[in-house]
Amino acid sequence: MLEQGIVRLREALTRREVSARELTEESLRRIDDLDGKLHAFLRTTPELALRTAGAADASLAAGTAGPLAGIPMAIKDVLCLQDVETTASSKILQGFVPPYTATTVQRALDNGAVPVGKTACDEFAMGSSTENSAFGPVSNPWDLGRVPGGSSGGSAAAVAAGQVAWAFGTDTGGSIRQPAALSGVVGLKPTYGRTSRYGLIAFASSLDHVGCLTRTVADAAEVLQVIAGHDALDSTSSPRAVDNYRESLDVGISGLRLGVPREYFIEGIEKGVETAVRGAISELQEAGAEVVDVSLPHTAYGVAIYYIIAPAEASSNLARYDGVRFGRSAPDARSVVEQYLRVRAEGFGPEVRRRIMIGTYALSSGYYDAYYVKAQKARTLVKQDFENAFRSCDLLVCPTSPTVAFPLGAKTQDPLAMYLNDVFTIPADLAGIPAISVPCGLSDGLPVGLQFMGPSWREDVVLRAAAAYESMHDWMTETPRALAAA
Amino acid sequence: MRPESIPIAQRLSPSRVRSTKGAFSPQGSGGGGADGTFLGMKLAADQVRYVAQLARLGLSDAEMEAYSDELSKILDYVGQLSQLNTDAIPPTAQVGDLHDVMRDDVVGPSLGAEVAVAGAPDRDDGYFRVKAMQDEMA
Repeated sequence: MLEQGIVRLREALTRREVSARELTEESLRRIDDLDGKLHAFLRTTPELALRTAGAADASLAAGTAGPLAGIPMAIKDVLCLQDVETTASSKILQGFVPPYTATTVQRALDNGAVPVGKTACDEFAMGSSTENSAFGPVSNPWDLGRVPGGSSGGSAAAVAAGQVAWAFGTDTGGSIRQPAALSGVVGLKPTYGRTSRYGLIAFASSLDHVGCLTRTVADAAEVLQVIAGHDALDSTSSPRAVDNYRESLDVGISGLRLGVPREYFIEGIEKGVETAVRGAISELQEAGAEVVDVSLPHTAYGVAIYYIIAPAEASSNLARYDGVRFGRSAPDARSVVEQYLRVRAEGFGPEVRRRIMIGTYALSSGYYDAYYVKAQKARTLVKQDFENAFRSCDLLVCPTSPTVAFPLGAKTQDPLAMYLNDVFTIPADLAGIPAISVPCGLSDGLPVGLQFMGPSWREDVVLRAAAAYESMHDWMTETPRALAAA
Repeated sequence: MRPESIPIAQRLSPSRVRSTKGAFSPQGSGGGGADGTFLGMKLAADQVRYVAQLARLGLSDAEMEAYSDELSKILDYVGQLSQLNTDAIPPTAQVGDLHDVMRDDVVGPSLGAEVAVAGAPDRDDGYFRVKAMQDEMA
């Protein structure tokens, strides 16, 4: 019953039709039953989950329960959970047990959420298919031979398969929205600075965002309401007041002007994706939205900008994995430098090494201006594109990904082909604006995602439009095909 | 070859971007090398070795070879940014609206040394223990 999502489960819990313990047992059972096929979880935390569920049942009985109380959730393994091994799906962090909990995760726990386990992702969140996990790829619940997207692929698969009601994800180049699209769930990336990054294992600090994968738009609003807000432990988190996101959900689409960026509908997008997204835009128009054509002229440069800035920041952030402070070591190395070389060679997977190399090169003397500063300037142009577009519309609507879920192994030999799958999600990360992916139907039996992007701090409008679209359909209750027989 | 049958990576590759107006191809506004530097050159094996050394990344000879090709392709792709004229554009280092965030210089609760180093492979009395660096200093 976890596929009912947060809002409906909370109603059932409040009416005492089900207990937090029963929901948690169902979650753990469903992980047991399905994860041999999906591999969404790196590890489960049954004792912690049942203990938390017990406390949630007590708070529900006492009438003091928080909005997420008793509802099973999963945590992407780049977010620290105190006393539970956290690896970022990397061998270099194998055995690392963090002594503290990420602020966003702590806020969910403070509101009663039940942590059932840590989900697999691309190593250090670097990837678009979850095939870069050092502990094996995750399968898509809609077709076990296909990827769930990435890097939050374990979280997406776990929510799609009803193993949990919702999951934490992180988005640096599309890592919440793209797997949400490919796995048929909702994925929300808030404005940069809206959610704390404290306790998030850093990949690219100016691009990393914490958000969630859920069954419904209302559920995404519930999670954001809890995890958003200033955190003194993250100096980039904003002191702005947090809006009431629930209030915007039922306002409807009428009166909103939606911009359709023409650069997101060009040669290269799969026919089935374009048909589903164009159909959704027509429905929004019929429901009262005004639809206008807009241009984001630097869209095509997004991937190139990203693949300079993100690796540059990563090469700096990942310098800390030296075999001295945590995780893997090389005890028989003769010198400290030999230890660095060996730990980092043995501990990092191929894609992480590739990005450290690109980033180090882009930051090295003689190339810094040509690559890194050039990319930072081009990033300004992408940001300005959005600012200009939002002068003539309230929101942008477009596809989340140019393709549906692709077969496992299809792009692993061609890093550039994998990078280009993020062409429609990277720009919102470069500009730091809020964006959401919602299911908008199937193409050949595989989910397609519809993306809304809004101006900074306007999560309320993004959620309002997404909720309005969602209310016209019943995609969220569909069972993924590959699990229907399970 | 019909456009739909060309793999997306090929359609997006710089060589095709230059030769056609293919999918996602940037409509370059500048004349190339606007900042006076040519991007997208081939990375030689000794450069790969040098960068790996800067990154303290042990690589086998086979990996050096493979990276020389792979990284060159990626650098060639990101080199398309040279088509943009950015002479008058300021760089964006961060997109938040905060600057110079400070806190009061007051000691608050923290993990403590023992807990902070608890995950270290080699530790002693609240400290990280590292191998001698002397030999490397020469």
